[in-house]
Amino acid sequence: MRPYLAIIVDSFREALSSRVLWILLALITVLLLALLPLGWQRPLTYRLGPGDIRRMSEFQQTLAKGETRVAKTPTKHIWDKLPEGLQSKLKQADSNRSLQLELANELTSLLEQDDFFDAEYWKNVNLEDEAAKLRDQGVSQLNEEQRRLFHRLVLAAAYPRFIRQTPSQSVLPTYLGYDIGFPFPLTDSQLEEAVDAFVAVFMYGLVGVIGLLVAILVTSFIIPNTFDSGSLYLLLSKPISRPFLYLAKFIGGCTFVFLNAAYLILGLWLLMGLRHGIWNHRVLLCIPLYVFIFAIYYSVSGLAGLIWRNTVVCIAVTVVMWAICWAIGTAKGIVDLWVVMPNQVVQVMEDQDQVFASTNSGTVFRRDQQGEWNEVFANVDSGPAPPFVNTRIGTIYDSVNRRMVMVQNNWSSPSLWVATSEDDWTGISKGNAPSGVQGLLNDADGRVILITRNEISRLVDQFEPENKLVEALQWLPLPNMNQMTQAIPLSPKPDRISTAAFDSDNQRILIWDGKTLSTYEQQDANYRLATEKNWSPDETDIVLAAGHGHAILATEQGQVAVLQTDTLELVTEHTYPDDQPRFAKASPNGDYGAVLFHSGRLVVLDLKTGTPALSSIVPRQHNVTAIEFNDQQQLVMVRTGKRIETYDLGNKSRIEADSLPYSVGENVARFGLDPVYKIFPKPGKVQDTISYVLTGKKTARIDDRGGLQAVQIEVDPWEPIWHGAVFIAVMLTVSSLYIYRQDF
Amino acid sequence: MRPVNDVRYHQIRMEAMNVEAVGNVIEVKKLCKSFRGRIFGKPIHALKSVDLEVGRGEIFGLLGPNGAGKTTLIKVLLGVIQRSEGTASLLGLPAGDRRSRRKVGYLPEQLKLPVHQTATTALNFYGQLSGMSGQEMRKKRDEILSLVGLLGRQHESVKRFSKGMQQRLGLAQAIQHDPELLILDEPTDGLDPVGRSQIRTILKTLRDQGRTVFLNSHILQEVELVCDRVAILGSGELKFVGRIDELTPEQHASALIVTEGEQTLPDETTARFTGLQLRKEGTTFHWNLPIQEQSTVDHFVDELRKSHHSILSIRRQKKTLEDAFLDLIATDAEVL
Repeated sequence: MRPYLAIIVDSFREALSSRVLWILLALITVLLLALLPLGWQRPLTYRLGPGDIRRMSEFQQTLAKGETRVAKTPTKHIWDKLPEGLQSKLKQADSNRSLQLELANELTSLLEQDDFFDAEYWKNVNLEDEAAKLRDQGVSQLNEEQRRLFHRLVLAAAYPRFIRQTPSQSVLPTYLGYDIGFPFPLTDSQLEEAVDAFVAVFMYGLVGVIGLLVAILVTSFIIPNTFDSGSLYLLLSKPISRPFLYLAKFIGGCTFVFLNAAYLILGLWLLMGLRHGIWNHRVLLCIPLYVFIFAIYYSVSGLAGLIWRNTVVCIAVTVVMWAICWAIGTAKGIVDLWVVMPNQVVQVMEDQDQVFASTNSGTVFRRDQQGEWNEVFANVDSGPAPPFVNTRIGTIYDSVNRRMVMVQNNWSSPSLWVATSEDDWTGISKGNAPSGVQGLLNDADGRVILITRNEISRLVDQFEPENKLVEALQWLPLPNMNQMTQAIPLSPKPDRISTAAFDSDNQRILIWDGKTLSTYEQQDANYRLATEKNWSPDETDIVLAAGHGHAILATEQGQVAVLQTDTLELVTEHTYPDDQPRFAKASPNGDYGAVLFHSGRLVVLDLKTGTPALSSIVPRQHNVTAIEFNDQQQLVMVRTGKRIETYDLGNKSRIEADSLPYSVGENVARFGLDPVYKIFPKPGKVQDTISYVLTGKKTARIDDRGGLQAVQIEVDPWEPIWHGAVFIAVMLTVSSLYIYRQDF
Repeated sequence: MRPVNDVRYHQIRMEAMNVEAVGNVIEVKKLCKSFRGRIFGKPIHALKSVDLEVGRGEIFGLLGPNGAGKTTLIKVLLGVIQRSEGTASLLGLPAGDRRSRRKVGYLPEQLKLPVHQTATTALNFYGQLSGMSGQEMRKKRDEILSLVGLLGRQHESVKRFSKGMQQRLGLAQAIQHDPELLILDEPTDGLDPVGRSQIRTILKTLRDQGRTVFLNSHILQEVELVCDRVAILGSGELKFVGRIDELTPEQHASALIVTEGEQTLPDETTARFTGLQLRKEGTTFHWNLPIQEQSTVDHFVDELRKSHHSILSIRRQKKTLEDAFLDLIATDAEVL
């Protein structure tokens, strides 16, 4: 071991002698000293920026009414205080950004005036808690900062539609005690998040990119110098192993970078802790992470150094390698986003002899009796939408009326399309869907239910004869002229419906409003509230499904619960903390419930007992993209977005498997890009790793629909590390073999 | 000329020195080394079936013009490159074996010591690579530095060392771990005459300690002064192995006689002296007479005197190593 330690120590001596280490340490010290005076103050928020004013033209019209108003209102009060020049500009209809900025500045200066608030003018304005508390303290008793905050709060209370509500505290960046920039309102938790985000960007941008480049530059000479012919023969004549000689040099370079990284990151950690009281220990994990990432590229540099024994070539090869990795990573990201993910099946529906599959982009395919897959609604243009700015709100199969139903977002209002076998599965427009449709689901019979913000309605079985005029005017945001839905009468009517599920047992409906789960039971023609269960104090997204007397629910925090639908009593509960659910399904007879997570994880539970019911039957459960239970209580699932498999959970056997055809683009991705991507390291993904290490978040929504069913890119933060480790191992093995076999 | 691989002389010497001459330190049999040429190029045969044995305790010189394969042979012995065919062993172990390298000290040609080292740190570094402990190194350091003439300058950076000093430091690192075999590639390169003399003394001391020195040098005089036996390589082939006096035997001596006279000797007289050569410069005659027996010289001098030649000088001259070397490699038409 002694010889190899000597080589590592010699690498250091070499670095020290070339002054590179000292220069780097000095630069890091300068950077830390430069960051030391950076801080922030937490002034109370009162300033208005142009972004704090919404609906400017409407607001200026409202203010302008103050000129003629006699009654003592805030509008009258403010208008009188505005300078004439601004008044005349506001009276003109044109609103533009500069006027908005001028108004924001003027209002800010008004807020700074002691006499801005006059109780008489504000007597008809309801003040919220914080403002009311300050008023009750006595406005004259408030200090200047509190008074300005109070003025801002009363202004926002007077114009809730036009003045944005902001946290009462702002952050004002300072440097050496001097203000830099403008205060921006942030709560404490937002501030912490912002600091974490800043550190993540700093770590990736400065340390992960610039630092990595510097590290590659300053260590690139170590291996070529070692293998310079003048000193190489002497080294090789010594009783040491050639591969270990190389590995010792490699470790020497990594240790050198480790020292620098440790100094920089420990310095930052101490700076944040001592100066700002933010002790984020996760920052320290960036030290080994950074060294590891460096090692990926250093393994390339080392091999180049062995082969060409030239520092410039080492740097060039490493940079080219980096560029190639970036290019491959970027290409993979683009192809995934534009080709692979939009075509992944996320919804599968079975009806007797036909299967329907709906993709992320909302395209629906139907498999006929011959096993051919054809597009449904092929005639309906979904618009030139970029990926996942999805114009299709939802597609669902109506098994009672044997029709496929689609709701599509048009420019103005959602439209309803129906496809049946009679029309050869082309889309037939049925006019405008109820505005505010946010989701589609099946009731216990298999009919289509539309959910709006506070109403659920059933799609009619039979549409009225088509009205040509209505069809011609469907692009107008008019109310439904054809009666196409029937609202389900709920008593009492919920304020909000986030999601719902139908239980065939006693025609029960489960409704989730964001915090509470409620059960409505059918009585006569109405559905009456039977049971309520407060679930979460905070607004929470869930996915929900109900079978015969049982329901399965999964929250965005990864909590999966099985309930009895009549009493809402908990049968069982499991938690998958790092995962967010996307779909929940229950078998019609209530035997099984399934939750599919964004990560591809599939959880199937026996709803009667709450025990897992899948692990022994289905292999590789991590790549499932869609699930459904068919009428035979069989589990239908889609793997890798294409392969449809059916399992009989009772017999514990696979019934059948089929696959949707791949497009040319998908095949290029599968057989060309994906294998290459797997081999190469992933510098672009390192940002995700750093971000995960610092913030603990690993998913990113890329869909504009929001909610749990939106497409999320599930980031495996450790993927670049695993791939990097394999890459390093391969490169070191190749280098070791090279040095072992090479004649020098 | 004697056949190659004659080690009898060495054995006699070892017996005389009372050193146990068990086996050879270096044994090379039918050693070949070829390098791949460039794409579509012919392979280069650097060593062609070389047979060589070096016994324990001798100073062995390896001679040859540039490109003869001397450094290639050393690299094969040290395991820096792989042999193509044949066998090569060092200290009874296959060439390149780590155990044999532990007992070898090596000073490469054109040594470039890392400039971040001082003499002390360089000795420490190479000592550790040779498996020496810190204690061993500390114990031997001053002695070694003193031996190579660097004592007092051990803390200076190698960067400031002259080429000669670097060469001395290179020798120090080669001998500090008491190797059984010392392989030196141009050890006196860059040294002044005093330095060369010191190196020769060191080499002789090492030999007297029973260590073997394998010396590769361009400087024939160095080899002549210090080596017990030499090998001459030319174009990858072994041209000669043996003692230096076998390269320059007595029977190749001649007499150079310079005379002054009116006219040359009659033809019937000169015809009696086989191999006689004459070069005339004005009134001076330069006679080169191969010496078969001393009486031949006496007869020739008598003939000169008879012809009224005044003898200006008579000098006995022997064939030099350089002559022998050039004769051996002349067929390769290479320049030393």
